Amino acid sequence: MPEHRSENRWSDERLLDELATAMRAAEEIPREVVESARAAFAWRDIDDELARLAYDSEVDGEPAEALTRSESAPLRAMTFVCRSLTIELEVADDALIGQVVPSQVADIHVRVLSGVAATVRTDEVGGFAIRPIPDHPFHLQCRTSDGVSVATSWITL
Amino acid sequence: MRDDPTVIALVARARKGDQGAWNELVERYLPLMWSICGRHRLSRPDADDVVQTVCLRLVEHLAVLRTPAALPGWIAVTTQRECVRVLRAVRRREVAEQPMSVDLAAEDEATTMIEQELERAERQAALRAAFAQLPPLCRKLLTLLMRDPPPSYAEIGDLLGTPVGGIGPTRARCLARLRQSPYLHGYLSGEGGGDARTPV
Repeated sequence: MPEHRSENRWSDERLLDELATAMRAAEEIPREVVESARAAFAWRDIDDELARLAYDSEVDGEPAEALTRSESAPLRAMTFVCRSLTIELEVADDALIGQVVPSQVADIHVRVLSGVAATVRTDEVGGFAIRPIPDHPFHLQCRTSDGVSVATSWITL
Repeated sequence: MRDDPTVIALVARARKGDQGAWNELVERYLPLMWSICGRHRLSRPDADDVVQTVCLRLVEHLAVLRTPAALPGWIAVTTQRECVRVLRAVRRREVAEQPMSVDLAAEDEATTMIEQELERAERQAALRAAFAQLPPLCRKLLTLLMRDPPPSYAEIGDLLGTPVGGIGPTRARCLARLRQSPYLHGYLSGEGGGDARTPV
């Protein structure tokens, strides 16, 4: 009677079919992809304060004002924010141009999945440039002179 | 969407640094990420990049996630954005000087796609979870029956060492058991995604 028909039940064939599709969806993912997804966990930085991506020109539209007054507009501009500081980053043709706010001297470590790729020190007003553009994904770890350590979230260009 | 107690427990354990819980979470949601990459027709290396980036972000996101039930939605949206970003970068490389005039999928199209993929991924994850809890004989039998093409009952009888006459009834019993799994509550009706049409 009607109460039994309210749920449009799958037949056994349909159920088996859906199950097969579900199993295949998991099986078709290449082994290396599963491995690298698992390995992502080891990249937690428990001690660093995490600076989150607050602005990304590629997602949020054009930057209001360019950080560098160069003639060519940056390919991409991003802002990472946490309680202690803000890191602004621009991708230029051959370099990453950055700015630590409030301006201060800090060490910037570029970290890729295989380790630390480069370290640069900012100038007195917090400006820095990283050449060449690192392999991605990468993230920046910023250590200020008063011992604050901040990591940006991972960046893929 | 649905408050899955398994996911809530996995998130709690992963937050405490449990690699095993992370592996389970990732395995549960990789098909969602992968199929969204497929929808965007990403090349294999680009899809690898997207998944890697989403996973790295997910590790960070777990620490601040307030409602674990919102996790699949977050994963779907983050994956979709990464796909769009990668596609834009690809186009920029291809159409070096040309300003981008063609827009990628419209906003509402993307939203519909995400809803569909989410619904499907959740249903499929539930099916896999329910399957994993079946008794070994059921899993063996159903695995054989899911082969494409499926072996004959005579072959199955040989492989499992059971009389051919028992296979049909065992199949029915195993599927009935699968149906009763609490994981599948609410998933086994309609065309799938039928109740996802809630206007926002």
